[in-house]
Amino acid sequence: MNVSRAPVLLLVALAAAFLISPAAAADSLPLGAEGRLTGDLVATSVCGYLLGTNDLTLDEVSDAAYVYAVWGGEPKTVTDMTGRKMTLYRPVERIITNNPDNSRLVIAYGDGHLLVGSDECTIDSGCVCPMTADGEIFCEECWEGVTPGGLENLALTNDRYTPNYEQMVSLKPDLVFLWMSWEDQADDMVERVGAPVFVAGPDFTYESVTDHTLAVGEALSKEGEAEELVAFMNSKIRMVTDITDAIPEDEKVRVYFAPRGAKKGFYDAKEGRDFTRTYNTYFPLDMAGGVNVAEDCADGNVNVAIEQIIAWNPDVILVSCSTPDDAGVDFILAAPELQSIKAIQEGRVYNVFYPHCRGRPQDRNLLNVLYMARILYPDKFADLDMEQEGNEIMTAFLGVDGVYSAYADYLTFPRDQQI
Amino acid sequence: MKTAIHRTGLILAALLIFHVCCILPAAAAPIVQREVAPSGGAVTVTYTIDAEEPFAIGIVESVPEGWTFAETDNAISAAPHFEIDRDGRKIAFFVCDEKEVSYTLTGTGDGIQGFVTEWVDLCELSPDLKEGKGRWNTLGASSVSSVNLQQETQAQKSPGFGICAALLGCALGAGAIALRQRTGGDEA
Repeated sequence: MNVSRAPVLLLVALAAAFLISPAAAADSLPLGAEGRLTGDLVATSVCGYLLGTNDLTLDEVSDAAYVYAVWGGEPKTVTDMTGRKMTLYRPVERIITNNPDNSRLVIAYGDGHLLVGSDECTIDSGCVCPMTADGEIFCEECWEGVTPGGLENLALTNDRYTPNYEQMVSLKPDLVFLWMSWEDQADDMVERVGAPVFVAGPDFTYESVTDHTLAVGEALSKEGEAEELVAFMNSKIRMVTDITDAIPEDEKVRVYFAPRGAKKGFYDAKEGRDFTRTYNTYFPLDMAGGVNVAEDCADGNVNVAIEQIIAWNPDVILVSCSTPDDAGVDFILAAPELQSIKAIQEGRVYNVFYPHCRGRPQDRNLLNVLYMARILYPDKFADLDMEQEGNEIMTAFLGVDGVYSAYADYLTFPRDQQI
Repeated sequence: MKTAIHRTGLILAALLIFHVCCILPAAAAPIVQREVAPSGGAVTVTYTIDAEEPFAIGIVESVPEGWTFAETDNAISAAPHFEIDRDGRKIAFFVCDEKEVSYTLTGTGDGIQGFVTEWVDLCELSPDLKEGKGRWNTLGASSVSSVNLQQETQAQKSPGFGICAALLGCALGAGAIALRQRTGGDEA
């Protein structure tokens, strides 16, 4: 009995091994070229394909033509944001991203149609396109417009904590974008998926945002688009900093920023954070002309004591908000412990856009540059049209108009909040 | 008088929107146009490519009976990359970052009737693992006249959005005029 089962088990094992083995990564140039594709080789191959006198496929001659036209006939070596180098031998036509920040840039560069798989926060929550907390799609134009067939229908390749390697291998990606928090998994992922893994993502410095934008652009050979996106972001930022840079330091508003909101009170033991979590660096706040009261904290991402916040005595408190039912601002305004704070006494506690979404959403943090400026200096930014600017910003990343309007409709505070 | 001026202004605005939308490309996709210049018993066929560099295009043209390629390649085209299948009556070009390529052949006719031109954007990226000819574009067919060919070529310049936006512009303009007529314009 056991003897007769052995071949079957062996076959099953072989089949399983075959199914989950890494896809063969392209490690050579098209047309079997070594070192460099010449114009004559590409032209002969293309013409032969068009005339039907060779057996080449459109995939093969297109890859060759792309490498010749875009990369000068040579493989392209790119360096990710951790300094890891990788060589691409064929154009990147099948992309997997494992967090929304990289998905957003792929879409911004017009390559949304090349996404073949992504993470649950890109395709199953509102990190790229607006979605309610209950999972209801809120801006259908966005969900349908950023990738053919709908963003929510992409293959799911990782949840919040675990990659689905079997799924990733089956999708035969040319390149995987991995966010910085998973940096230590990159080399293992290369081995298991059989494709180059490009680690990239921003933190809360603007330099890292532009570095991320340019790095992903280079990996996708969309350097021009990346430069344009950076120029666009700079133009929006200058609308604010041209004014705030002229404000004398001693006249600037002192701000306590709660990037994790206050939905669960001062501190949520489960997540290890809430109102008392803050950052010493948040570029939108700096650019909006706020003096971050936590700027001298040694740790960039830190939980502080309530007593410390009271001692800082900020002029304004900004509380991040990601859902319409978030009563964090009301909680803070009513908290007996905080009543001595100037911001509480003057009622200057406001919601702002949540700066996290399984990463640091570039579009929403750019919104905060403008929105925080309006809050901190309402007289200087009275003419700032958030609706128009917000939609321009979201369109620059997602290519769909009206996403800000939909997001503001969902959150409600951008519409209702009195500044 | 004022109403007439306003109406004229609205019409001009609608025409302007129509014109702008007509020349607005739907995307940065390449556009290939074919022009023919007859000269005695020969014609010169010129392909003009409107695309952002870098680009790579493949063009193949089927030539009808009655037309003959010259015996040497130099007499046919100065393009750097082309190939001829004399038995199959076809000529193919690989065009990389060149805005124009042309070739000459002898025969009788207008250089349009019976010619079939297909082209493909070789730098278009697609996640499909096995692509067929779905990406190929056809410029003209034997049955179309010279005028029709030009119209078809023109249509490929701004597929989709441009025309829709132009029609929308016209509709808005017409709607505004109709509304003003119904309400009596500014004076109402």
